[in-house]
Amino acid sequence: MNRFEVTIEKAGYGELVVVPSLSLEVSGGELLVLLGPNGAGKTTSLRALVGTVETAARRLKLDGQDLSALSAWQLARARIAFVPDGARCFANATVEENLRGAFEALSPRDAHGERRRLFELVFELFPILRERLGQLAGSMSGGQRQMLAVARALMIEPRVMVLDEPSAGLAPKLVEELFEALGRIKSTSGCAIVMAEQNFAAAMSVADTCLVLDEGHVALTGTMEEVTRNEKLRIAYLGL
Amino acid sequence: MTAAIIQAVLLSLTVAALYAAVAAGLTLTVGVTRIINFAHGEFVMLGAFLTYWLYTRFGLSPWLGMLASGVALGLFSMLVYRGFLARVLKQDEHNQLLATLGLSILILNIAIILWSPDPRVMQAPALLPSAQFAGVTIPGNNIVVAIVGLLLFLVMLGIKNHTRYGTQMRFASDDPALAMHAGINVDRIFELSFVIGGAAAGLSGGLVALVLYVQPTVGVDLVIRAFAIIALGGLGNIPGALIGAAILALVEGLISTFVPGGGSWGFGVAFLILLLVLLVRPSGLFGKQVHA
Repeated sequence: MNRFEVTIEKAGYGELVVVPSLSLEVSGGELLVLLGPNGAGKTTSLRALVGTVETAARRLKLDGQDLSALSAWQLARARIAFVPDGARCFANATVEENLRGAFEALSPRDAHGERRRLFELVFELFPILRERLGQLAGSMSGGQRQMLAVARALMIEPRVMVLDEPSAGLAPKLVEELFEALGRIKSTSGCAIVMAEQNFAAAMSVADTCLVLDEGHVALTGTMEEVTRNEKLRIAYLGL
Repeated sequence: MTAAIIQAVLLSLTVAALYAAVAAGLTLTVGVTRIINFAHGEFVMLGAFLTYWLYTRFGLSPWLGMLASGVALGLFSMLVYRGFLARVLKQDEHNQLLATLGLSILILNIAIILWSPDPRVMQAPALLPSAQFAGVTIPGNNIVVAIVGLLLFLVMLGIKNHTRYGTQMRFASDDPALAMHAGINVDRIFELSFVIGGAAAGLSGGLVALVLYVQPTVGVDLVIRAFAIIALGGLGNIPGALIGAAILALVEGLISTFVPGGGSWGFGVAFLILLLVLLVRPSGLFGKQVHA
């Protein structure tokens, strides 16, 4: 279930091709981490996936269903949630409005029970959000905003979640909390997760498979186990 | 003298409601889509003409006329948005400014050609009886303008803050790209706010026909005041705009009533106040710092 297959060709900006070609596959309950240094093309790949960066070709399949033609907002409606980098939230809306608005964008008018259930689910993962319900999202700390960003994605009950560097700018303690939550999300919701990350050490704790990008090219791919065993590549690409 | 002051204040407040009605739709459009829609004034003018004709040619009550104008201008706004603005929105802001300014001038001049620049008066019987207050008389139509103008304002506020579409409008104005990733069809939401803003313009045009001369240039003065009001209140801040409208109308009304030859002073002094406010508080009297 929730088998997600992606192929991207020539992702970039106008004449500039950043990622010539990339394919990835991830299943429900799995987390694939896209690793690589700054400028390796992680963000470009994810944006190409959700359709905000130009590509020569983009193929998306979810459980065999072809979603290649869907635009960014339609992908969210197909329950493929994207959490962009920078802990972005609707700054002038409260935490509650952020969550409720994300739910309402996709759900029928009378789904109150469903909404309550999802609220409880995100409060369980991120208890701090319950305390901050009435606060303007823009006035929270970076860590809290990142939790809100992930929680907002969960409000659409995603089948696939795509996250761009969720740990950037967070204190190590918060990174740990966030990744632990992601681990719980993938194992309990059956959602497939694709995550770009620079923080290899932290990502290791939660990832199942790994794809290393180097200057736009796929340098290495495999299960976490295989990658950590391959010492030469580890040192070359991950500096560990 | 006291009676004259009370009279001037009360009449100014009804004028404030008219300004507020014109600003109500504009603040929704500008606040959500960031389109500085200069043609909003011409939408108001078209609404005024429509209400005027529906009454003078078909005897339709201005109550119904202003509703019809609201619907008609809502539909017209949809055409303008789909045929024209949706494309311009993707270009830079200077082009948007020029596009709506061009549209405004185009509609104004077509109106002058078709209908002549002559001012007309809709000689309809007052929709409500006039009221006595502290020894002064407020004409019934001014009361209508005050009530409907305020209602229109509250409706805009309610749409923005208490409906699911309102939440989507606020999301789309806060961060359009992020709103898109939340599954919101941002183009459609922009269109919706533009159409609602246009309908509000049409309806306030009906109010204009009740208390002002109906003429092609009537929207020009009004839209300038509406922008001033929005700037006074803080962009996208609907209650702030209401207070901005009161300040503007009171200053104008009192000066033109009590300063000799003040008719031409009122407008100028009101804008002097606007400039001073913008110097001291660039985000408006009530604008939040975060609220772009």
